[in-house]
Amino acid sequence: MEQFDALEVIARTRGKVDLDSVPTGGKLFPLWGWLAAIVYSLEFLLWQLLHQEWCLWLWVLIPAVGIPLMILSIRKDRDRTHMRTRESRLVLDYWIFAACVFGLGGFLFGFTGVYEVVENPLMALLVGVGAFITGGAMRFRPMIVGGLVGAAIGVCSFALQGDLWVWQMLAFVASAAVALIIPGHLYQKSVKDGI
Amino acid sequence: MEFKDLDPILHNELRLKIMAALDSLDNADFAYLKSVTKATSGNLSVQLTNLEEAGYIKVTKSGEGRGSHTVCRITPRGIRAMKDYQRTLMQYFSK
Repeated sequence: MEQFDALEVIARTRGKVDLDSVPTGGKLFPLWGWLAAIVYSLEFLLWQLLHQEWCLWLWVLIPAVGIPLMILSIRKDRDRTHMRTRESRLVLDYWIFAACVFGLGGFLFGFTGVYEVVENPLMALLVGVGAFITGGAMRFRPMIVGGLVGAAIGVCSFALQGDLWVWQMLAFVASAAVALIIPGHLYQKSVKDGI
Repeated sequence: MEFKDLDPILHNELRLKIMAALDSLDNADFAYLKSVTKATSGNLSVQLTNLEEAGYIKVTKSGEGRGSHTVCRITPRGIRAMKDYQRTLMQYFSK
């Protein structure tokens, strides 16, 4: 049998993997955050000015613009990505689930006329929870806190019903800012500073 | 006092490095495993095949030629084997 210190080999290899296991994803936060904030602010403004139902379908711009931009960003990083941790897998699965809820919910609630009741608060809640999970996996406190605040905004915005429902859009903008934009930029800065 | 034999598939430095890395990850590609193990491409390729034949890892290849991409993932059998291997090693030290 081969002679080597097996326990040391296992410990050293795991240590090396741990050092490499800085999950990615923070890069995409500002992209989705800014896109959501801009589109929903525009939706709010146009609705206030025009009161046309098509204004409520502007959310379609988020996946229409965001998905190609995200693919471009991932392609750029492809050569550097060599492995995936179990935590980043969990985070990815969650965001796929949230994206499906966003897309399906948008159409379903839009066509059935309950869009203004649940879609925006639900999305703010899902975005907040997503940022919380991602922050946990990345061990990045501003993202964890931002996610919790974003989710809390989502829960509170369920109360904006009746004539107040239009303010749900701005609540979603606030949620995107605290859960995605601010932590995303802080994360990028920390990576740049080598923290 | 009787000692349980160590798994001969895992009791090889390079194969153990590969398994220790994959045991901590969801998946890793050939380039990453090469950088972690510091092995040559040929040697790594041979050991990956051995581990795959033992059912300890699953190797997925996509594309062809220079653009090909090999991704490896530990199987439930591989996870069990790693646990047994470490348990056996610890028994050696505790007895």
